[in-house]
Amino acid sequence: MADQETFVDDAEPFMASLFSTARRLTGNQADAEDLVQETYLRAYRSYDSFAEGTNLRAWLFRILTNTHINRYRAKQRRVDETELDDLEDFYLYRRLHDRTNLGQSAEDELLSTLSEAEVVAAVEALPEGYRMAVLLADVEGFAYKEIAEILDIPIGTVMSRLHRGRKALQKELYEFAASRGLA
Amino acid sequence: MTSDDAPPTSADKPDCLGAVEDLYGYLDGEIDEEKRRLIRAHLDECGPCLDAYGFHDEVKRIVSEGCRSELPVGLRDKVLAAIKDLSAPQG
Repeated sequence: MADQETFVDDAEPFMASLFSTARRLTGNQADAEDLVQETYLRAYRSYDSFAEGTNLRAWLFRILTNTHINRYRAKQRRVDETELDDLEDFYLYRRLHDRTNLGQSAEDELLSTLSEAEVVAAVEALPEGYRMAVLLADVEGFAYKEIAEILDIPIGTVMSRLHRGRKALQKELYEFAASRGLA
Repeated sequence: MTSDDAPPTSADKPDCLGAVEDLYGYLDGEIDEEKRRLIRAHLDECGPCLDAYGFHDEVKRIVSEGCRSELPVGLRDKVLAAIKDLSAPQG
């Protein structure tokens, strides 16, 4: 059982990474700030239910994602799973191979031409369930098992969301590249 | 992936097929040491698979870097003040 007295010292170091995730989940600065604040207040109130010695960072992310889902459920877009299922694996990579006869360095070069804004737009275009999985894995580096606990879904669902999310992400990135005639 | 330009397909030799199946497991650090070792050995010999691994690792990296945001000035203080308000004795 954790002590509320130590909450600020314990939880504060994770604020920047919680904010990054909040920013990508909400899509705007003001809502992201509100989400982080609400996450910290909720975490503070229930800190005595946090089992000391377990994963505080994962616990905070669980509160963040739950808070976000509850607040924004009304706005949440329905995920068109069929549409995502139709995408093939390694979408961008295959397109680059199919449409160019360029070698590896050209593929890497193409990635380097994508702006940070385009990468962010591609991530933010992902349906929410997939976006959460991709952010937790690729940005925060959580293990599949931790993501399963944070999102309260089976590990197989984590893997399938990551799989589909990454395909959809590659498609978005490809379209940015293609729109500039780069692919 | 035996030819230089072919994307991964099910017609590839089993080594490549296995490497492609485990690509994200490897990049995400989710496969056991024995499997990692086998994949590393395969990548040492197979340029196309090594390229595919490198490419997807790079996509992970640009997503990770692109998605980080600076903590807005003032947010830390705002949150800490809100917690202080909550913890202050009532009345």
